[in-house]
Amino acid sequence: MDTLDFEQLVAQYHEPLFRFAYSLAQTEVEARELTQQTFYLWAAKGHQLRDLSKVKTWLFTTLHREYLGGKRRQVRFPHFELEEVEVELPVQAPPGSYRLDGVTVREALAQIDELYRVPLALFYLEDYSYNEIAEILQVPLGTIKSRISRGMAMLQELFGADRTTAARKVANG
Amino acid sequence: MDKPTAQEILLRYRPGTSDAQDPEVQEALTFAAGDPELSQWLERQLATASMVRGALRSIPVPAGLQQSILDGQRLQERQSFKPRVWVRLAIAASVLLLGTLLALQFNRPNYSSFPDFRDRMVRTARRSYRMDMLSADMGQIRAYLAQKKAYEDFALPHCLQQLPGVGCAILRWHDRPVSLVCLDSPEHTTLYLFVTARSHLSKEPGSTIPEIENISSYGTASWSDDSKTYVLASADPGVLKRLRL
Repeated sequence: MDTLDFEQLVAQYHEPLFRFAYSLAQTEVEARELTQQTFYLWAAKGHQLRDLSKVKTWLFTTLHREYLGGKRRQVRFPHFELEEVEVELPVQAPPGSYRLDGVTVREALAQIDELYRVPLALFYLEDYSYNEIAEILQVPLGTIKSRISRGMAMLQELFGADRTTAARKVANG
Repeated sequence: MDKPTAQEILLRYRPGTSDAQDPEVQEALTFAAGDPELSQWLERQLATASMVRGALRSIPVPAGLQQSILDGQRLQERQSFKPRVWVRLAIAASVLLLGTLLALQFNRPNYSSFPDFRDRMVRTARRSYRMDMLSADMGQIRAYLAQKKAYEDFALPHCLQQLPGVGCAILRWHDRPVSLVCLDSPEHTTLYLFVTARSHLSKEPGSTIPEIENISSYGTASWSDDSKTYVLASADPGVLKRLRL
């Protein structure tokens, strides 16, 4: 890939990749590093990709691998793999008229376990299909579906709690 | 289909996408249409999904990220090369030999003398190495070094303070940290500033007045302040003179 192609690729994908990286790492510094490193890996190894329609998936997959690799280097911790998660549906969800700003929603997302947050990010950030998310995260299709449902259920619970807190604040004047 | 199953499916329903063509989703939507309570729940669920989508897509992207990726790639292209297999083997053998020599050298009493340090740093600047972080912003470079517990509180001479950064790396010298900060000179030649603790070295420069010396065709300027020793290197020795350190 020549310089022009590389520039086009960076122009096209640096924003969604940075947003995905931020949803993983939760800090701007780490998200920048991950995004930069992903493009450098593309420059070094991208020529090995035969199907150029897979460039975007390759970039997201590589960024995710880099993130996991960085985590392994930093801390050793037990890895929990939940194959199927029973969906616990919220009894109460926030009404449609209740809106939260982007920062509050991102803070709520940050509270969700990475296991559920990462597929959710791919699901809503880029409207990826289940198959594409499964390919990027190297996780079975059924697991992806259950993690997305579970993640959304967790968010609804968090938003419900936030709504209650807000209502209390109003009531207390 | 029962209600919990319909809810589980609709928790991941995205209107306006191909999700609606999924028979499973179609069945769940039909089920919800016939259940007023579930319809209300679906309305709230879609509002939540819309907020999540909006929040993720509005994550602010740092200004200059695109340019710093392109700048970093150009820098790597300049500094990298792709040797043939036999060259790689020769390099591997050299590294092994060098490692052995360094291991022997390690026990020598003067291993941390400043001239050794400066020579090694110049060799680092000459060969291909990887920048840990790329940014033109010195504030971001210092923040990164601080985060990695490397030397970030270095004092730059006046003529270097106005120069944009290129990036930084954290190196080791006899198991001691060295901060490498790359700067872009007014002539767009990369300047390599190595910073380490003065206490780690012997025979280090004794004052803040830079000592200019050419090492392996590279120009170097070396000085010390109260706590740190600095080596500034450039492939073009003339640049250091023109900077008027």
